[in-house]
Amino acid sequence: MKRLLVVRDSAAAVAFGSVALTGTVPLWCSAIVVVALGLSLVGVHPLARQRRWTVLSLLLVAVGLVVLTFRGYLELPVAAVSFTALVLAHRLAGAPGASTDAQVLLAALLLTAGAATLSGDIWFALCLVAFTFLSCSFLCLSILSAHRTDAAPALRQVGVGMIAAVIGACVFFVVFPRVSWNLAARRGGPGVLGQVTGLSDRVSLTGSGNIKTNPRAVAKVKIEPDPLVRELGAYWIARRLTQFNGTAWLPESSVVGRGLTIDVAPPTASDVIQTVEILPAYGSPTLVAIAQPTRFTGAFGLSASGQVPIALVRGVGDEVHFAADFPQYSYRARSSSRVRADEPQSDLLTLPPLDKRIASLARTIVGDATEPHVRALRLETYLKRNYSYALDLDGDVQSPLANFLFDSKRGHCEYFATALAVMLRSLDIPSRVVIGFYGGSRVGDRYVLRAGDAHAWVEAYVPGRGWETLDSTPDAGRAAQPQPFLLALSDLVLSIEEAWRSRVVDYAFADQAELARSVARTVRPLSFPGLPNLPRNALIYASLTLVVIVIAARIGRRSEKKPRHPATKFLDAFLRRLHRVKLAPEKSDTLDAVAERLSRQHHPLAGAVDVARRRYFEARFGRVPLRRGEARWLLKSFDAAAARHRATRSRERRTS
Amino acid sequence: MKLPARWRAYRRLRITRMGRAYLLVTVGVGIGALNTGNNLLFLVLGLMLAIVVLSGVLSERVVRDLEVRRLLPEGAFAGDTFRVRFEVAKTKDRGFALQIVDEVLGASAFLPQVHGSAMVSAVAKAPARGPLALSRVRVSTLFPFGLFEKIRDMDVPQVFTIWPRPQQFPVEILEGIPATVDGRTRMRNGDGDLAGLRDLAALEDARRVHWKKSASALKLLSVERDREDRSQFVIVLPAALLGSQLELACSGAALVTIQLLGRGADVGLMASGTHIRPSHGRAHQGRLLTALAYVGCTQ
Repeated sequence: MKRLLVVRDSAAAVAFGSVALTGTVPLWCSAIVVVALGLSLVGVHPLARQRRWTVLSLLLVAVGLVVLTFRGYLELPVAAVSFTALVLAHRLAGAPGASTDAQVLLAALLLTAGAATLSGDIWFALCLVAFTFLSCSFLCLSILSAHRTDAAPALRQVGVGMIAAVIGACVFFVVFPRVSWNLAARRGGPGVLGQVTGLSDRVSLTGSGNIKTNPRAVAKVKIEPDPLVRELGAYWIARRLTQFNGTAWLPESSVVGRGLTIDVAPPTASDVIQTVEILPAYGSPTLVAIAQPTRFTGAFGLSASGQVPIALVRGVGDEVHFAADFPQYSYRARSSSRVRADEPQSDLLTLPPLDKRIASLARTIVGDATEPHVRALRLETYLKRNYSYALDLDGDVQSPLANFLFDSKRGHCEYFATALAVMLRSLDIPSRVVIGFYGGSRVGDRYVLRAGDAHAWVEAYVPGRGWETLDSTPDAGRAAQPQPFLLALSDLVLSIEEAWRSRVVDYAFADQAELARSVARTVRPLSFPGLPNLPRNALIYASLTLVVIVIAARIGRRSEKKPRHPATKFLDAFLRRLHRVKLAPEKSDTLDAVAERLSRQHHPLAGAVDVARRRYFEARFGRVPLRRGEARWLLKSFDAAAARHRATRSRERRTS
Repeated sequence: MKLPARWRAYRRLRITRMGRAYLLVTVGVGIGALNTGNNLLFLVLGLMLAIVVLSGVLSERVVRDLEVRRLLPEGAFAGDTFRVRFEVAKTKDRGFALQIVDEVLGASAFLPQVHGSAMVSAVAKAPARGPLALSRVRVSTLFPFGLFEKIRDMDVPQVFTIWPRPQQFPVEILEGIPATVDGRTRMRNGDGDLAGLRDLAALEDARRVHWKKSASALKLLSVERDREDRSQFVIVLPAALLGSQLELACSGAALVTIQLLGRGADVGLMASGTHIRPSHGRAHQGRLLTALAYVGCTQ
């Protein structure tokens, strides 16, 4: 019984997990359910004898949730799912029994239905399938558990049936027409892992660079024209920072413009167009695009009610961010490969009081070069060659920049960018630090930006040449540096998620129509003389389906052959002989009735039938088994008697 | 108008309480899916409908290819409980969670699993005296999920004899019944030395059968052994008895039969055209009780 309850509780846990992974259920509600699950798994049911007041308290909670919903603190689906979760916890804490088990499973089923409205992730599908298998196994076992019997054959049948049911459900999903406008499922929140991007609103030289090893995808981008390379190696600009206080680059919060379309530079015909999907893990409202972005437009926030167009806000330094908060966004951006030549708008030469050695070092590095472009390149090259990239840095230091340049000589991209920008400014070359991403690896037909791709570099203004991109970070430290295994796993998860989203979550009537067209399409028609052209694809699909069904039926029909009772085998053989002599019992007759009838009629074979009948009953139920050869001997005797009877009858017929 | 057997539905479906709740949730999910167009709800709906179909398919596999045989004792006394056995044979696959019910007998048994053949017994209570016509046995299963109960009614016609309950005669009836002594009859149905072989009489004890000789002769032959002299009695039931008087008379006759046979006497019976020669033994007792069960029955 305990093991059975573990199966039930596992099903409930998986169903609750499908909801919990969305991150939308209130924490207190999740805690109650987890505690109830834990207690039930160890066999403790605190509410076994107290039902009335707990039901009253559930009703009070329901009223509270309704009030919160009407006041706008909770969304209706979230409130409904939370209440269902509390009902599940209440039932788990109750005394186990047939009705309690049914209530637990029904509450869990309602939770999975609720999770379908709150989640769009592939985890939901895994939880749904797991819940189905666990709950069906529990129901099957509970029917047989009260009686000591081997449940393995029953579970095998149910297991095979469940696989067929999942396939059938997939076919139903594909074929059933979508009669309403398909609203994309609610995009989940960042989930239990939270937001991870290293894109913050400032660059501070006091942190470590652990983000570099994080392979989580934060954005997916479709690029037109498609560059068709595996690693893009591009700079993605998010924000430009101009004010340095000695330890950090600070943002400017002034708003320059607002609208559905923001042009940060004149767009050109040769711009690269990017369709960007910001994932929940991104964690920042700032838009990002390949250097140099020219236009941002078509921004949508993705929520339970579908896509909502949102405005964009332009700040100082061409930073563009979303005007509203959503867990996920999508937008389009255009980028030009042309170097921007607009004059610097703000004072990009200001420096706080710094270690005098920094300026001196800058002058030493540039040597006798006078051209700003050459000076900049020398500084960039010097830093790249003479300093090493490191993520594990010492704790807080008094002057992190001086420590980087003169003591440790190791740091991450923010140190390299800061050092370059400061030294450029010390040589009267306007410069600013740019933060964003570097890289872009291809997954499917899109490019993925990972949390570890977050990067900082420098833009320096050179009169006559415009804004030049300078990156003094050693090459190995630019893009994300996750473990190869984690990277491969992340890519696999991304591919699966992409397929899940495009083929399941966003599956629409148009996709069904396309599927129907592809089935009916006669790419290479099969033509037989006198017959119309046959759709090849449809025939292939139908043949494959038939083959699968036949194989499955054969596998299902194959079962262990248990030998029948010897007396039953003897009876079957005897019945076949009776059938041959046309004395077989009719459908409603028993053998007893046949023997009695033959005896009343004084049939010559009545005695033989009676002998066989009585011997069968003795052997089958009377614990006097047939001896070796006795069954064969009885049958032979009957055959001989039947032959004699036939001979007698034919003699009588000839005589008459 | 009664439909021919092959046209009548031979399966019935009963939705359990949990099944009703499940169907309600399925309808709710279906409405939600159609209304919102949420693809994940379609996925849930598809799975729920597939479970319903799977339940129907698996329960049909359980009740299909099933044979049930009812095994009854020779008879039972009215008002007494007796054990009825059901032999269930599954010619293909396995059957799970089979509930076997004979509504006429009021007996029900549960078979958790059957592969090949299996036996299960149940306790029933014998109603009034007389032949009891048994017809159908209901086989049902909640397998696999307990959402629906699939019921199959199987025709297993049989006649079961319910003997009169042995009861003391009221004095006034006893006075009206003459005792008839039939004199001595055969001396060759005892337990002594072998005296010979003869044909086995109807309803005679099968333990006297000589099987090997019977198989050779192709008829049942009973062994005759010398016996000692016994007292002989013939119970005569007047034809004019009806209703409760007849029942009392049969009950009393049953008691007397048992008591006399228990004392080693030969007992016979004359009632309603039935004449059974005095004899002894358990099988003879069964014959007498059966004859008493049929007294006054027109069918």
